Amino acid sequence: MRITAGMIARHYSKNLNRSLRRLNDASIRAINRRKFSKVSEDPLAAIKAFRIRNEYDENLIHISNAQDIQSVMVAAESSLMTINSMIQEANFDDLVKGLNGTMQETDRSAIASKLRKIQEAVVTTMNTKFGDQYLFGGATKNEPPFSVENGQLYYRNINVNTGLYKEVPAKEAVANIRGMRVHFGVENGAALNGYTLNVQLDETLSGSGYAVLNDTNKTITVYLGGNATNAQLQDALQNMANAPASVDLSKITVDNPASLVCFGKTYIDGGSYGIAEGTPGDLTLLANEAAYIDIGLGLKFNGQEILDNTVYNSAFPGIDFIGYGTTENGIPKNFYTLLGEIASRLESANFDAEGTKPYVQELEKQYNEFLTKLTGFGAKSNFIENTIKRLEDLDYNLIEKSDAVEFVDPTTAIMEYKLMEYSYNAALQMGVNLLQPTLLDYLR
Amino acid sequence: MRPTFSGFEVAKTGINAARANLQVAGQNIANANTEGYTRQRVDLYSIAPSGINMRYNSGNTLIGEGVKIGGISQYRDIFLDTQYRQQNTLLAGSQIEIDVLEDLESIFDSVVNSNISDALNTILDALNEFSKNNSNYSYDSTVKNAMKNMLGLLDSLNTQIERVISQQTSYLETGAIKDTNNLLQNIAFLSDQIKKSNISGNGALELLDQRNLMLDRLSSYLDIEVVYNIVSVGSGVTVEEIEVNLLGDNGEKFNLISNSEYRQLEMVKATNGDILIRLLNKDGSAVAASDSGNVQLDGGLINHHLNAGAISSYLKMLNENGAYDINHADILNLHKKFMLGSDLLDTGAVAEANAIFAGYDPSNWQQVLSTLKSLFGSDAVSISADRTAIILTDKNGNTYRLVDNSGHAVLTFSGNDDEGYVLGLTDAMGETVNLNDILENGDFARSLVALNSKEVYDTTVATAKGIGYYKGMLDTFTYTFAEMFNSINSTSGPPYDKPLFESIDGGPIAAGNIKISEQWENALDVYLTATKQTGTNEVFDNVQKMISLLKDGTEFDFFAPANTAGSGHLQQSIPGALIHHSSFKSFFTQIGVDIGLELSTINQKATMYSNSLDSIDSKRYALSGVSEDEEAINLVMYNRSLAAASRFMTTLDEALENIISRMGIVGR
Repeated sequence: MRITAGMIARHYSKNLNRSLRRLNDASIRAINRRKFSKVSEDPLAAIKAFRIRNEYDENLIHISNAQDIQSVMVAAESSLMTINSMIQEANFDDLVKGLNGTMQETDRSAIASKLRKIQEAVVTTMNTKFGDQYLFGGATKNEPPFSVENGQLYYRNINVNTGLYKEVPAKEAVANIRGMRVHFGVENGAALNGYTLNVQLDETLSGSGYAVLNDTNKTITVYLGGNATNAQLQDALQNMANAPASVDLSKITVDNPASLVCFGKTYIDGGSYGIAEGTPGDLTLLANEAAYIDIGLGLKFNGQEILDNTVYNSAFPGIDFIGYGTTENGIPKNFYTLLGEIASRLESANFDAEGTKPYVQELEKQYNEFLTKLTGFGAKSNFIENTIKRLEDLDYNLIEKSDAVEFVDPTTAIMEYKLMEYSYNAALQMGVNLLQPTLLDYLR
Repeated sequence: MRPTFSGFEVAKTGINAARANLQVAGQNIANANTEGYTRQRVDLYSIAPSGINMRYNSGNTLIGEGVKIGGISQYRDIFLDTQYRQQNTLLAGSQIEIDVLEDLESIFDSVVNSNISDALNTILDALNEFSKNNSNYSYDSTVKNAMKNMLGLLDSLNTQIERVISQQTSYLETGAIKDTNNLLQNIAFLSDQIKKSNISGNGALELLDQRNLMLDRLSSYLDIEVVYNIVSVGSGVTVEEIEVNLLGDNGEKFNLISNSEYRQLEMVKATNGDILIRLLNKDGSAVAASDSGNVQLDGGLINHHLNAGAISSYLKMLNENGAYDINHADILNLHKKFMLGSDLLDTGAVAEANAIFAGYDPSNWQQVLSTLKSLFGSDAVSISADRTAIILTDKNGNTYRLVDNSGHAVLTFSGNDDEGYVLGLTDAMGETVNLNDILENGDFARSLVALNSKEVYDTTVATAKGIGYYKGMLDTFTYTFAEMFNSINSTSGPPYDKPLFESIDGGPIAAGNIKISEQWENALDVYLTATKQTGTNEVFDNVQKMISLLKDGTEFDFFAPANTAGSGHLQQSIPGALIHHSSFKSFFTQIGVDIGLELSTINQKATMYSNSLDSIDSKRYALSGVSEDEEAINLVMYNRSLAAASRFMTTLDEALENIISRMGIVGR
């Protein structure tokens, strides 16, 4: 083949460029230590890397969930231990002595006042707040679960002994569109709760307009002209078409009647029916409430229902620990009322030892049940602790795996860089001698 | 017997030849590094003795009469040129694809930059916090903000893809097409010059070099064939004419240049955003048919005949949408399903419209109006001030009363695949009209076009994954994500009663128009649904459903949002093609991997093309390149032959001196 100087120069510049590119690649690798910076450099490794990253991210969330529950449980456990020691303090021996009638009235009243203190402390302890959550509120942790009214203990508004509600006022539903408040009235709160309010502009209308309620879609659509005021919105709502007869439209009001209407959609929320005193509640239901958290147990659904062995239940309903309801003989099961009953009996001038006995026995029985629950709680804490350990091991493994797939060992990277540098330098040196003199240089 | 002075003539031709050779060597050396320069040589012939045909040979040995310069020619092999151009076409095409895919790779990059997957993690974190602190409004807001962050990212990805589309379109329009047209024009111009020079006996070698360079460049844009035809220009003189043809997929050819005549390309944007390329004659009229292979062109449209090269690759990346391209049969079926339903008019839009006409209730006029507008087109339907009459205005301005106090209109639908479909209307006044040609917009018009106009949809759709595919993927993700979350949070099917997301413009949700629903935005209390269980235990399980959606193990079928087929009603009633199957978490990493795989394949191909282009180019250089050594040898050699020829002349002179001056002087 005929070779010309031009050809040699072209080949050389092409190869020099290639060598420089390799040097560049090697330097990037030595700096960021990545095996690849783009998927196209190594698609198969990228697929692997992405899988590992997803697993890693998910695992981190599981760890943080488990650690959060752990700290909640540590707090809850210490509260339960406090209750434990308080009940122990009630000192069954003393009580038995009192029952034997060997005590003086002054001694009895001393015991009684101790019991009263413990009684109060139980409620306070069960209303313990950790962070912004009430530990023993079951699934609803934003309000103190226990309250005492007229010596009766209530758990989320239900009397712990009788299972009947105290009076709970109705709440009104409020809608908000960019600061414009629409009040649906306490009476209508529950009926219109969950509707979507849609205030629409209709250019063909001048100011005032009309509202239509759609029961199937649960929407209230209001059509108003461009310069409508809040008062006109209120007017339209009060004359709404298709509203159910039970809704009292005159109770609907809009704040700041004189200002201009804000158009838009909003979800109407917050309303509820009032509950009349004496309405039966379901304490068993509340005692079995669940609030699920994903700590990497597999989170699965069977159709609509969550499989509860694939998630962790983080609800600790207080009544589950301190007892609720009454025995067949009408003796209350919860610590608070039991302690109160015993105390008032001890305080009474004509102390009836036999009549007090069943209460003390029940207290002892409930205490034993409490101890069982406490042990169960300990086992749950243990489980969480082990889970965290397992998840952290997995975390470590995943980091190692990801490192192996995505990153190069610095020694190799730097060696490779040096090698490329060497070959580039060699190429440069060659280039100097590449274009040899031609015959022309030797002509006389 | 040779004349006495003929020797001088011989010597003169020798001197001329040597000088010509020296000059050509000089020209070669001067152009050793000129791009596209082809090594030249002097063609020499020895001149035969003139007496060779004399009947009576004198018996003397005949001697030739010197050397003749036949002309200057080039060392060039047109077969190498052909090979070079073919390879160049392939390389240029793959480079465009690499350009686009590299842009897309950096947009969907998940290796160094993991925006989307971070955003999904933030959502997952927020949902988990919400599950740990249920019924707490501030955690509801945390989820909302995490979602907003995600939507922002989707929107920015969408913008970036749209930027790639507009960039590539402008590269095609202002770069490739313009350059191609210039090349076509200049090659034709040069060819004219070359032919004229040839006729006057000038080889025009330098012009040939220029033309070859331009042909090389043209070959990067289009798959071309160069043909040289010998034509007679009279009085026994022949010259070469050039013909450049565009090669189609199936052997069809379109003439681009016929010596001084040339054609031009024109880029047109179709209403659906597709880029169309037309082939035009010099006078601007569309080329009607191929010049061989018998292919008719519709308005000069040659999209489907461009099969390689940069322009074809641009079209591939800009027009083709992979699985989002539904072929005619599918569209037809979709439309039939929509308009006719399996049980004809029962569930279709025709029946829907008829029901609306018959049961019109003025109190409900807003809803009726919006439905009719989506069916007939938004400009076509209007309502009277007292809300009792609805009027349809066709594109010619004629009006028909759909509903009024006296009665209502009736739509009829008939026809079949072979004879076409007809939508008829009898209006409230009893006037009958065929709606096929007088509706412009709306679902009816679109469906009728799709059902009746075959040429639009008949062509088999290629399924290369162009930019549109990845844009579609982004929309599909957004749509599916929104749909899933809306349905989990709501207690009713679509339309959802508690949607988390909605579109800005009321159309189907896509990456460019998704936002947090106004209901959620305005909510004063926790908006995320705690549970949908009723009765039994009180549980907070709904948020766990959302969490499980975002887990890597939860995979879904992703469908195209069907916006290729129409809008409004159509989109809601027809799911598009099945596009993808993966989890939300893996969706974007898989797009990244898809692009990466495609890119690495094309990169390998391009390297192969480039290597073989190099080796062909080396061969060309080996033949046509100037070697300084050779030229130096030529200089020495022809310098010697100049000296020798000159010496020959002085020798002759000396010999004649003897004859003329010294002979016959005896006795003087």
